[in-house]
Amino acid sequence: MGKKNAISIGRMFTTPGQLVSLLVLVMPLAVAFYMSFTDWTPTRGSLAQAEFVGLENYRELLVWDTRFLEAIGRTLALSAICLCLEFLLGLGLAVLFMRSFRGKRALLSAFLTPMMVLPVVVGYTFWMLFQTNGPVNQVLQLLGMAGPEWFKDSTLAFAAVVITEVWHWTPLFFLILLSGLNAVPENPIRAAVILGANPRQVFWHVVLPMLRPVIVVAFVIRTMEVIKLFDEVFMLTRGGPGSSTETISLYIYKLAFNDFQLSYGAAAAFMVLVGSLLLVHLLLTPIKDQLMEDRH
Amino acid sequence: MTRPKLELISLLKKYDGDVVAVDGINLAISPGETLALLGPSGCGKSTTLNLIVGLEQPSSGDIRVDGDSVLNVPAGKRDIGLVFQDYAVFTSMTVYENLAFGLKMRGVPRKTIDAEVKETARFIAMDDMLEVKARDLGGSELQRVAIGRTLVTRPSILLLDEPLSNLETDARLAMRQELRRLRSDLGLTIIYVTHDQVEALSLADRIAVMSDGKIIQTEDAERILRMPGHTHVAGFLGSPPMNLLYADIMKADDGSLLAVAGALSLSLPPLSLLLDYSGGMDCPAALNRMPERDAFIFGLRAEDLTLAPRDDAFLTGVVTNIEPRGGDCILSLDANGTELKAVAPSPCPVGEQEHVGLKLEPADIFFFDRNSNQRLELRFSREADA
Repeated sequence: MGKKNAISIGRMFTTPGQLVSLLVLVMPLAVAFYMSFTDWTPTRGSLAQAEFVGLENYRELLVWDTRFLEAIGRTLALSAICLCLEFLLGLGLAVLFMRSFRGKRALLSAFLTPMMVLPVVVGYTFWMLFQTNGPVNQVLQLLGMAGPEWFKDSTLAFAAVVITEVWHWTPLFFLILLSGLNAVPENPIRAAVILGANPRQVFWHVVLPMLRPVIVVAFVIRTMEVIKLFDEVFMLTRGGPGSSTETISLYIYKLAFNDFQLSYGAAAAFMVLVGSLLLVHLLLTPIKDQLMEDRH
Repeated sequence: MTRPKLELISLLKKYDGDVVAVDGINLAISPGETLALLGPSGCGKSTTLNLIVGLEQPSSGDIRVDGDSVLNVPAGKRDIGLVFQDYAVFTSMTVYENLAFGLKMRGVPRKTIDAEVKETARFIAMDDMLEVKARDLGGSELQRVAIGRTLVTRPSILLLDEPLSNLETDARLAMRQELRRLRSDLGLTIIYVTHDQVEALSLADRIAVMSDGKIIQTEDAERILRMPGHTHVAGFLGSPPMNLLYADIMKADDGSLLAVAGALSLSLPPLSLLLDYSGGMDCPAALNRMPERDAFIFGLRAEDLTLAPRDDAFLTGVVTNIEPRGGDCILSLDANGTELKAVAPSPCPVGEQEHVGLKLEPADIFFFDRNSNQRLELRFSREADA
């Protein structure tokens, strides 16, 4: 069989797949992108009939829409708090699991369970837990504290979202960091010990730097997830009280499906997409050289 | 005699109850001496180093530095440095940070660190690369950083764990030279672990050959090659190593001796020419010791087996393989079912499958005890042919 023939047969097999991805991936994105430059809503005729408004939607979002900007700020704050807590807890657990102790295997499975639960189920469960007469407040009462109304106070509602998110996703950090720690070569650690480093110095100066790429990757994965955070907040607070726990995904959802401002929502979604790309790029900067490095 | 710098006394390391990695080693190393621990992989060399440096604790026995036990001194405070086979350089740090690490951990003032690091960097010829990240360095540079990082803490004993085995041939030759310079410049006491005899011979004052966790012979570098004390040493050292033949010696009625190794039989000089040196002097006492039939292991050095006309040969065999080495070539021979190695000049005067004769001076036969595998002080007299 000739080389040309082989290539055309190859094309025959791959073309349908490429067409399907064009249809389901690129097309909707392109349509949404176009939509973001119009004032279309489904109640007023088809998209083709909608008026082209140029950058109007984007201008309005950036200049006038304080709720959008607040939601972005809130999402970033939530990401920062959650990721730091998840990282510290995950690292602590991973270091603990580097030692041997009884029941380690069972405990490992138990610690990994939360991240296997559906976000909607986690949201619903914590919504129940944080009810005024719920188990969390009952425990607080046993400890002699008055259980607050979690979802009526904006700070507490935010805290409830953080707690839920941290419970749900610390296991991912734990898992990634544990495998990272296991992959750290032994000899540099031994070399550091011989050179006089104590365990704390070994961890700080030798182990942690070697773990850096793994840590960055964990942060990137989780950042992308937290920016998209929707289900749990939707189940817990619906963004309330007021808009005090409204994440950017939740706000875009409300724009599109409560207010039917589809083109405006599309513009918001595209801005978030560009913002996330920039953020991920920024996060990857410290290890870019290592990621691009050829293997010797 | 000067007090040894480092002493290992009945050093034993067992893992999980029964696995013996280091089996009762005794060793004394003088100040400024370089000792090579030579042996195949898995014979306990690296474990011995880990015990000396303090990364592992022995199951029993003692380690003394300058006469004092260091078993209760943690690694890092023993004044002993170790350079790892894979260098174990901190890749996220620069060369400078790597060199400064040990001093920083010891709380040495920044100014002193700076001076020491720069001096060491000059010594290892890395002073123009101080700001380069270690992950961007090549093999021999990493090696130099690993050595420099250890030297900067000024240990009195330096342990090197197969330091050249990860390097390319030319880098290895250059590094070997540098290690020799380092040895003469610093006068350190060095233990050098290797499985490469050429390295051991070129760098060490003495060689300790290890096998199965035991040291089976410790000898001057040159002498150990000439006079292997044990079949393990004979079968490991030399290139190719000595041929070892399980031979039974029988005495004929006329007093002459015959050695039988499988289907191969070799006629030997008469018993009267077999000398026994075990008494410390040349005397033909072997005469009385030799029973009617005795079992030995014969050691025949490949270099001593030379091509000869078949009717004048000590033994004959069929060439099964020829391995050219540049200056000469190694012949593999089948001598009546016994496999032997011999060295022939280059270009090789014989071809594969050729039936050839080999000459051997009977005085060059080594005798090993078949039970203990130790070399016996027996030898045929050189005057035999005179």
